[in-house]
Amino acid sequence: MSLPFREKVVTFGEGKSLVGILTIPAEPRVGGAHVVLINAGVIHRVGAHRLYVGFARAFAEAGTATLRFDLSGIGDSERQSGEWTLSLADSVTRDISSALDFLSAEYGAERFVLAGLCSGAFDSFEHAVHDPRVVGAVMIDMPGPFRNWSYFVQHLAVRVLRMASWRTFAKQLARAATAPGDQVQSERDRREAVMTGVRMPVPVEQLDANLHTLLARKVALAFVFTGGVSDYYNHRTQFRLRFPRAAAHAGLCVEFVHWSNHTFSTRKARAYITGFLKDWLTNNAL
Amino acid sequence: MNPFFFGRSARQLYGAYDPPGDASRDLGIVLCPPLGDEQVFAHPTYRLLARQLAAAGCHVLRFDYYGSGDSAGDFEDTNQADWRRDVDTAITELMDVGQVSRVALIGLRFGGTLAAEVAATRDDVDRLVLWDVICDGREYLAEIHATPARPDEIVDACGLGITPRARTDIEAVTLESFGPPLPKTLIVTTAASATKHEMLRDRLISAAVDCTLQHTPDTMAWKERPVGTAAMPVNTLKRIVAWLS
Repeated sequence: MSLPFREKVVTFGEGKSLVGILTIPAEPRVGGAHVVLINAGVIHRVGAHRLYVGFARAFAEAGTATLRFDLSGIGDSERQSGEWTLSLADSVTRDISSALDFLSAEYGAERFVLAGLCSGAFDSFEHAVHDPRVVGAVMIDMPGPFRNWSYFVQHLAVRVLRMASWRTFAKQLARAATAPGDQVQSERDRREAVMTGVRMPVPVEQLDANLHTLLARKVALAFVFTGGVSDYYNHRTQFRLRFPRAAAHAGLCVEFVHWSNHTFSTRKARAYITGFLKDWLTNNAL
Repeated sequence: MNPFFFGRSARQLYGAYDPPGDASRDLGIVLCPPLGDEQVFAHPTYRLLARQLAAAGCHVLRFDYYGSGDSAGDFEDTNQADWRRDVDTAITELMDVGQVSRVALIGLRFGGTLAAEVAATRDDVDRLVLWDVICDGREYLAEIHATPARPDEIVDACGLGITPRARTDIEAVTLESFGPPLPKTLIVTTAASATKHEMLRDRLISAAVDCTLQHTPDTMAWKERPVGTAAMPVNTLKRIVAWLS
């Protein structure tokens, strides 16, 4: 039985130093966008638990071609020349632009959907803001300023009902009373840094403005949050309460998979998110 | 580094070939990866090792088993015989691409187990490196939490769906699974305790295998590294490259 897709190793960018796998559908959708998957942290292009491989093959079944590639210095991609003179953001922008240029030149692609988990979500969103070729973006567990009053209400409601939380709270109070203020702040900063990887945190006003820029450009946006990021997202309506104007827009979709962890480590979770995104692409004619 | 697919078209495997530096030797080295998440976490270390071995004049091939990494298929459709066949295919591919007549195998964790099984069946493998090799399948399954509630259950563990068939295969791995015949062998242990690997070394030596054990606690290449750290097991890599050189 023949597969509904074929997979091809591709190299592109300066000196063809960026390495990726292009999954090409046997029956491509006419005018369909090309999906480009962006590394989650330092995990190479297969994704955590092979999540990206599953995405690419499922999207191909729906007629969508997908490139999953390694940013320079990750996986099999070499660092490019001048790497040390670029900021991380500039390096990522250059690599994603190279991927889109390559697909345009070699496969005639004109419309793109960027997608990623964690730092890959952050990079997808940031690049989409500045590149008019991007018509869709999927952000899974994107780090950002999503906490608001409703987050803390939910957080407290859950904690109040758990006895163990009271013991932890008492310990934290005792620690905070004896620790210098800057130490408490640096602990918080460190946690934020871990959450965002090595990406610079974005102020809420900037994220709100960028959401509007993208939605005004008719870029379809999907935000997915899991139970693995309960440090900053913990209930279904949080996004709507945090960004009410954007959430009212038909081009924006938010999904909360509270029962999955951050990396979709079970087959059930991977099957769910893969099916969800496949449907989202189809429903948005991407 | 040259990335490519190889093997039968219906069963293509992903490979990355590193040609030798200036002074080419008649030696190909196949890096056999561990399984599941361990393979993903070990990827940067394997890439660095491949470069170092290539710089030392070797032809080096990294590859992914069928159903893992970038290779075709799903892990649930594979078993231990398939993984061994993939190692065989990788050896044949490297001998062809690199035009070498001698091959060494390096295997990390369960990749070491498979490398040893394949090395025992071939005449053209003349060196073997077993790196934190799994020599107790039951212990390994317990370590990765692959214990099912029901015998027919596919268990989510280590980023894999481990089928009853795969579990039975892995459970069967014991010290007795390791040769002879085996070529000259280096056992590298980076864990704090080397008791199991000392037993493996003693078993191989008593079977007249030329075997050395190097036990140096180091970064465990197959474990997830915390965000912000980039530690590689550089001392272990140095030892492996030196032994093969």
